[in-house]
Amino acid sequence: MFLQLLINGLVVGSGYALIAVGHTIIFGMMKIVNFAHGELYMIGAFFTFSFVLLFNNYYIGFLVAMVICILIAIFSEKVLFHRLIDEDIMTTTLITIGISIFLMNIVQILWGANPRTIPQPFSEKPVIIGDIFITKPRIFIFFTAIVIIGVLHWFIKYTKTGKAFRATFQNRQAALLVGININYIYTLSYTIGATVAGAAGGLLGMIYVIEPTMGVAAVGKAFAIVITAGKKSIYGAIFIAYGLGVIESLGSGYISSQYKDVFAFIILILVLLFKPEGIFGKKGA
Amino acid sequence: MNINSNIKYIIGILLLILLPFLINNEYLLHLLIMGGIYTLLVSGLNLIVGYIGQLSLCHPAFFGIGAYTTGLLFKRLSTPFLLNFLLAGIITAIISIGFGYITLRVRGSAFIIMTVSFLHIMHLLVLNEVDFTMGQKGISGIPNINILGYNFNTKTSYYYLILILCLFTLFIIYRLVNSEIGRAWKAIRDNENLAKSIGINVFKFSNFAFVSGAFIAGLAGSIYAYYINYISPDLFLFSITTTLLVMLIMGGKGTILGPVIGAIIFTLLPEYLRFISEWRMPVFGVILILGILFFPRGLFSIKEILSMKMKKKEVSS
Repeated sequence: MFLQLLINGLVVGSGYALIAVGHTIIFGMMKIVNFAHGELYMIGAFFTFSFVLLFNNYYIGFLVAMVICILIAIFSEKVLFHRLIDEDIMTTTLITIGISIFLMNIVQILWGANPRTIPQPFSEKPVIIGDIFITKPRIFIFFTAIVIIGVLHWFIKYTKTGKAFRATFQNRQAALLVGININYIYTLSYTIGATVAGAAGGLLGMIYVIEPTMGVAAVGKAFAIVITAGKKSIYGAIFIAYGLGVIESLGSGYISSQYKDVFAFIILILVLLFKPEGIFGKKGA
Repeated sequence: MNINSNIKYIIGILLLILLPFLINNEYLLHLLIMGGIYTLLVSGLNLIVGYIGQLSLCHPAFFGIGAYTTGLLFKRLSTPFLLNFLLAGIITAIISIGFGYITLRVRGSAFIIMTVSFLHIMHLLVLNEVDFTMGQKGISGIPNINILGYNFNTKTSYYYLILILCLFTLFIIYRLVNSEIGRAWKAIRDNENLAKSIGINVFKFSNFAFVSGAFIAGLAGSIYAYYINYISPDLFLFSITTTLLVMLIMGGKGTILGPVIGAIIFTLLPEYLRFISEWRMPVFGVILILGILFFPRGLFSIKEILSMKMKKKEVSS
């Protein structure tokens, strides 16, 4: 029972990690409280759904959906988000809430409100190790998430653009001074963040129902994770995301499944009360 | 306030009193009552958003707590209206004191996120504690208001009740805003550190604005429960937050009459745009974005913006 819950939790956690990484990048770098971030997750899921049906192949459908996500991300960054940098927090929050309502309801009109799941390419037979059951899509989700996070890590740590990205993330003024094109870095990081969230939608849509309102719950979790981890800690956010997945899974197994969504918020409130700079945050950052 | 503007307000109030005789349309009267309830809600939200400058997204939770307090008191104990009404306000206020005590220590993003979490948690609680709140089914069969034998069984009677409540609330808010308390609020909004340095207790004043807003929302929730005769967990949905924000922003935050204008316009407008019914929410989203970008001080500011542009032209020519 415990191992089963632990593994389920890690699968859910990998979805959270993908959503939270992008959220940390946008929140930490652009200082935007992005309520529309969950909508990218939702849109990723819906485009994957439609293209998988169109091409009758999960992998091609998923990749095409990601290309669309990248285009949407670049467009929305250039048109709207770019203007929000340095605006006060109330303005940016209200505008992203507006974007969120807009996208959510447009999807509701175009696709309809009834819940669906993305058809998955694996056989129904689960993998059984001892007394643990794991369905194949869950294994696929877990390892794909690890690969995406690994690529992101490689990009941030070992490429020249990644170096510029880290510099802008830490100190924008200094990055400007040494001649980094921060506008390019902003567009790039927003696009990465949004697309990774879209990928989470395309992956988790295989094991959960997708519906137009799914982004709202997701963005709530992402906020909880980012603030719990500390606003500027990408790796902290990943760690907390997996942790939250496990806590939710164990909590719904041993305590109550109806209240599994509450755990994130209780942790968030506790952290804000006792360590407001976040678990991995630095004081005064 | 000079005599001239006093006369304007008196004429306005007289018109509002005569309105039910002029329109003679049950449905329009219903919309005006809903507009009145929204006026109460948005005016309360305005205290924390418009005067303190903290974005609270959990205002519908207080509305819902007020409504559920009323509904449950009636269902379990059959207590009379006046008691339920007052208890709805008081219990909502107590809950908001507790919540504000935890959250108002932080500003900006952390506060925003805690309020949205609070709304989600309240929604889950009402949905899942079926034995206590009746869950998704909601509470039905709440009777009309009955004060000392007078039964509020017509729309007109509710209209006057809401009108009195709105006028009274707006008057109190007007007095508050123009008192020392209101000046402290604005000081906190405009420059928190400066406010602190001249000895304003930011935490205390923010909490007072927050709790006052919640108290008003609780009362509004109680009236709503009696008027609609039915309440459900849908009162705790985030979409209500959105509606309130559109009303507040387009009406003009940080003004007394802004919330009234916003509430009335955005109660009536969607009903007369029925032909775009399913596009209503996306349109609300776009209105919110454009409103923030172009009229950050509400639709009222159109006149100001235009006159400023005229002045600029005069100066340049």
